[in-house]
Order: sequence, then C-alpha cells, then structure tokens
Amino acid sequence: MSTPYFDTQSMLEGLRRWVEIESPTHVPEAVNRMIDAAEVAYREAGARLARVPGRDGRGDHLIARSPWGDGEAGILVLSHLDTVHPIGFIERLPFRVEGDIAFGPGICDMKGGVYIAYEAFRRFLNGRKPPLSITHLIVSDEETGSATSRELIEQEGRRAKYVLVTEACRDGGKVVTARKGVGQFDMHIRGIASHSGSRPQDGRSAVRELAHQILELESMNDTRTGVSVTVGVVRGGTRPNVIPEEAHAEIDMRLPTLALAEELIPKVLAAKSHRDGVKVSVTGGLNRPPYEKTPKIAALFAHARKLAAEIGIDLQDVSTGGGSDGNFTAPFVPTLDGLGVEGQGAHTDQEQILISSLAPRAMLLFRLFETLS
Amino acid sequence: MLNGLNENERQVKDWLATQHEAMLELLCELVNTDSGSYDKPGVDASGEVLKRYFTTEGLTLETVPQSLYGEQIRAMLDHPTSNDRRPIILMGHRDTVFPKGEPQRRPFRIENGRGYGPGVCDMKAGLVMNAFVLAALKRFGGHPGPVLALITSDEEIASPSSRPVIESEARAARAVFNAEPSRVGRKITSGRKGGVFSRCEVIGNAAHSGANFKDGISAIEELARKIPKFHKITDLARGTTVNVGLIGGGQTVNTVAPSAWCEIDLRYVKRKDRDDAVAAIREIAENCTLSGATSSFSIKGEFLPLEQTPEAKALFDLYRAAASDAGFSVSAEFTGGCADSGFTAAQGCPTLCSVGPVGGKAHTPDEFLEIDTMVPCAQALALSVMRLKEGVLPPG
Repeated sequence: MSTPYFDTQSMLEGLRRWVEIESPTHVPEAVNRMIDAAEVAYREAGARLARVPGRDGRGDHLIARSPWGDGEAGILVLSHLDTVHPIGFIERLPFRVEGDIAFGPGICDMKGGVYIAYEAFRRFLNGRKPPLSITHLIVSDEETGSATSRELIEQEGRRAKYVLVTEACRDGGKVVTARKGVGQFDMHIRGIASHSGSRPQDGRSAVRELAHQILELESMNDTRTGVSVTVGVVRGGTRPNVIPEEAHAEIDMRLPTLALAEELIPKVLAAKSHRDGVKVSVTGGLNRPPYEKTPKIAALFAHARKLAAEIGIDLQDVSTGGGSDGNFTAPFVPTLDGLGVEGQGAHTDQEQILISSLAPRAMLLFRLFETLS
Repeated sequence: MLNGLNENERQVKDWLATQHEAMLELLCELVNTDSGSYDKPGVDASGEVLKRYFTTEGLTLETVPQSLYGEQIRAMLDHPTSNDRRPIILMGHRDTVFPKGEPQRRPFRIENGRGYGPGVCDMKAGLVMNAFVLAALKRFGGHPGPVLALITSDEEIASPSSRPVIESEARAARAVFNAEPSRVGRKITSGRKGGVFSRCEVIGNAAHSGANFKDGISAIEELARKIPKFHKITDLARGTTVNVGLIGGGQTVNTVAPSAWCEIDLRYVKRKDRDDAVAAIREIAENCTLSGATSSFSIKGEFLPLEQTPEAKALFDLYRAAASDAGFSVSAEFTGGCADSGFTAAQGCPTLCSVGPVGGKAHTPDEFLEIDTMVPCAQALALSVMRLKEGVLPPG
C-alpha cells in the first residue's frame, strides 16, 4: 500500500462539521446527534457498526469494527465524543481559524483526535488489510467519569492486543504513557448539635472533627511518590450559633501505582473520629485505576517513537495526573494515550488545536494501525 | 392593703386577669403575621398589629423608620407629674428566625395548654404581655413615671438597626424589663454572655486536582488549619467559647479549592474578656500558614454581656416579690444566650431579662408557650413597674 495523503483542508472541514454538533455529556439527544454523524461516516467507509443504547441520562456508544480479523485480538482505538461545554457555548466559542489555530468547543478534547483516527482507519477499509483487526470504540460519557461505558471499555480492552487512546497530546506533542489513578470519596461526619451560647458543653462539633480529618488527608500528599489528595468541596453546620451536627467533604486522590492505591485507599476509608460522640464515615474508592508505564507500554511507545521519527516527529512521552479512559485498559493491555491532535485550552472558552498537527498525527495513527502486529 | 396589694395594684391585677382570651387573640394574629428578620414588609406588618392595639388603648406612638429592616416602635405612656422623668422600658423584638411562609405552614395553635407557632414564645407572647401591661397602666394608673414599650425589629440577627435605638433609649431610662421568655420552672435570667459573630474568608488558587495539582493552593486546607486554632481560644473556666458554626468552600471534587469560609461564634462573660478573644480570632483569621493563601476577617454582629450589678439584683428582688403577689415564685440563672438586654445593661441601665411568659424550644418547630403563664407574668411585670416608685431603685 502506498503512503496515503492526509489533506489538511478537507480534514479541517470534516472536523468543523463535528465541532458544530454540540454534544455535552448531560444532553444525551445532543450526544446522539454527534454519534449519528460518526456512524454515518463509518457506514460510508465500510466499517461493521454496533450501537450500544445510552442509559442513565447518557447518550449511545458507537463501535466501528474492521470487517477482517473478527474474534482475534487486535487494536482498540478508544475515544469519546461528549464535551464539557454546554449547549449554546458555540455562540461564545464558534469554530474559527486564526492562522494555524482552529478554535471550537471540544475541538481538542477530543473531537480532533476522533476525527483523525477515523481518517486513518477508513484508509484500510477500502485498501489493504493490516496485520491486526481494528475496533474504534467511541463513548458518550468520558467527561463525567465513564459510568455507563466503563464496562464496555474493559470488555473491549480485554479482547485487544493494544489500546490507542485519542486524547489530545500534551506539552507540545507528547504522548501519555502513565496516568495516576483517581480515587474519589465522600466523607460524612455526624456530631451532636447544641446551642453555642447556652449549652456549648453539650455539643460535639462535626466541623471541628472535619478540620482534623482534612489535615490528616493533606498530610498524605507526597511529592516523592506523586500521591496527591485534594479536599475539593466542604460544607458543614446550620447556623453560626449552633454547634454543627453535620459536616461533609468531597475528596479526590491521585495515585501513581496500584501498590500505593492498595496501601492508601483503605486508610482513607477507615478514617476514625478523634472524639467520643462524633462519627466519621467515608464512602467511595478507586474510580480509575492507575495507568502505569509497564515494560510492554514502554515497548509500545518505543515503536510509536520509531514511526514518528519517520514522519519527522521527535516523539516524547509524559506521565500526567489527569485520568482518561486509558486508565481502565492500561492495567491489563498495553495502552498508549495522547495520540490525538496537538492543542490547548481544553474545557475553556479558548479551546483550540494546531491545524498543522492534523495530518502528521493522522499519519502516526495510520502507521500504528499498519505496523502493530 | 389586701394580700400585700394596694387598691391600685389590685385594679391592675384584676383587670389583667380578665384579659386571657384577649391576649391569646392578639398573640394568634401576631404569630400568624410572618416576620422573619430579613422580611422587612413582614416585620413592619407585625408592627401594625401591635400599633393598632396601642392606638385603640389610647397610647402615643412613634416609629423610627428603617430602609433595610423593620421599623422600631415606641408606645409611650406619659406621666407628666413625676419627678423622675426617665422612662421605664418594656422591651421586646418582633422578628423571628423562621423562613418566609412559616406561619402558613405552621399557624398558631393550642394543644394541651401549650401554644405553638413561629416566634410564639421568642418573643411574640412577651410583646403581647408588654402591650397589655401598658394598657392596664393607661387604664388604672399607678406607674411611677413614663413607661415606654419599645418594640424592635431585628434581634435575631444581632440588632443591626435596633442597637443604636436601644442604646440611646437605655441611656435615658430608669430601668429595662426585657420580655424574652422565662424558662420552664419559672426561671428568669441573672446574666447573659456577650457574643461576637464573625466571618473569615480564605482565598487560594484553583487548579485541576490531577493535571495541575502543583499549581493549586487549597483554601480548604488553610481553613482546616485555622479551625482548631479558633477552637483553642475556648476557655470554659472563664466562660469563653468559640464555635465555628458554619463552613463552606470549594468548587468541584477535582478542583483544588480556590475559596473557603467559616462563620465564628464567640461567647464571653466579662466585657474585659471580649477584646482579647476578638484579637486572638482576628490574628488567626487574617494570617495564613499555607504559602500563597490569603484571608480576611469581618465582624458581622455583636451582643454585649448582661453583667450582674447590685441594681440588677435589686430589680430582681423587686420582681420576685411582685411575682409572689401574682401567685408564683421565680428564680434566676445565668445563660450563655445573648439578647438585647446586654446593650441596655452596658449603658448602665438596670436591666432584668426574660420576664416574658414561659416557653421553650425557641428557634425550632417545637417552640412552645405555656399559655396560662401569660396573665401571671403580665401581673408580675405590672406590679414591678408600679413599685419602682417605692424607692427600691434610687433615681440617678
């Protein structure tokens, strides 16, 4: 097969049509319009399609499979087409081009990445078969934690030999070979209410206990291991002159390795009160497992780096604290993430991509599809 | 003199004894007139109910207009011939802690001798008592000097607009009787703590908890460092307590918190303890130990302590004797709860607090009033006012 040509202008035009279909996670009918567009594109290209109906207020998920290699362990391309921007945000952030930059909601996170993966995949659908089967799984709820797609991601991941995730690349083109695991917890504290003026001795302050708990959680932060703990939200009490009966915290924990997760998560869940009459309860756990750079992932990266060099890219890798759907597959199948387009400002009103990254990044995916075996 | 009462006192006492149903009728209307502290139209409407009663009884009315909170009402019973022209103040507030619509959800009702409804004992029953005492004195005389019913509008939020009015009236007054409810078991108040209500705001720096954790400065962490320090100011032996009663902060679970706040409730017994405790709170509130965090401190409201003085003790003895003549015995106890009586006492005016009808569970849906205490409490208060002329409290 001769080297294909990826035409930047026609890809940009295709991407524009996708960006202009707004698809916030919370509006399933809008996400489904976006999934429809991807389905139509893949149908025309000749992929075998399966659509998994949405549930729990989320849109449908789409699976586009190659007609070859049915039942064999192949390549899973992992994407999402939901965005964080609400309906109407397109008025504030319309698709527009300024020099080498194109703006638009979701253009970087991650419609650009999905679009180039589609462009790379479709070249094989009417051309020569590569060694491995290709499955492109596009989910509808990544931005809210993939609650309705996690099972599907893991199921497809277990059938795959490699997973390629089309999240945007980082810091000037780096791909991602490790992500921290994400733990999320709710802490509820119940003390004893009393009037702070007339009966202060009868009360047991839930807020006071929460302060102790927060300080203990903060002390788990460790720059050496990369463990981070964020108490993101707190609230407590009813009126200033009442000793607070209840207090609540929402906790986010980032864990670079499974070993650290297994050591620290039970500690968070077992938090104990410092005072009689006060009860502390914690719910939650590991929301996304750690994505560690295993030797197999290092080998997959080395392969990608060699391919990138052929097209003039000095590919680097990076570890990040942010989670993605790659966290779900990395524990059991070599996973390479950040294979989407180059850009910045994800989730903001400045979300943008580098137009000149579309063609080389599409080519890198094409070469991975072509060479992985 | 019969049973220790003179003829004039007996007239007043007997007339009040016939007013039980009329008191309940006025109380019912007052409780059903919604008057949360921040609801100016409601607080003013509840004032109209009382103004109508005072007008019918022929008393002179003045109001102090307010733009934000309800107006203050002065109902004056003059005494043109007394030597001591300083008024005796019957004080009370008509605002409640409840949200708008509470009387529609929970209108006034009586069950097994108890009255229920928002503000029923705290302190609408006390206002009704004051109104009937003033009416009785208007009808039968016997008051030793001018008597002023002062009806305030915002006590439940530390009297931001009423405090200057209360202080200025107290400076010119002979004595103050405050109609907060007596507690079950006929207990009135011998002293109250002062209170300072303040707020601390912390500013940090937002960052994604995963991708940019190192750029974040957690306002919640700084707040958590401050809270135990605030609590350490508590000194139970001195009667100083600090409660961080309300906290809030943060944006989402996966964002390092850019802001957080808390509300702090300080109580103290002696005026001299106030400044040290406030300075300690301010020191903690304004200084951060987490690098990059900043914070600010503001006082939102304040009550002064009701300290026991020899004059207040004499006023209590006078009241106890009057109560005995009204058929009940009272005792007094100290409370950490704050009230407007602290402001009048701090002006040097002899003050007796919690002479209102007996009630409990204030600020809760279970708030109640023992309705059969309305008449005896009114009688005891009227007799106390009348007997101030007997030199229990020397003028000046």
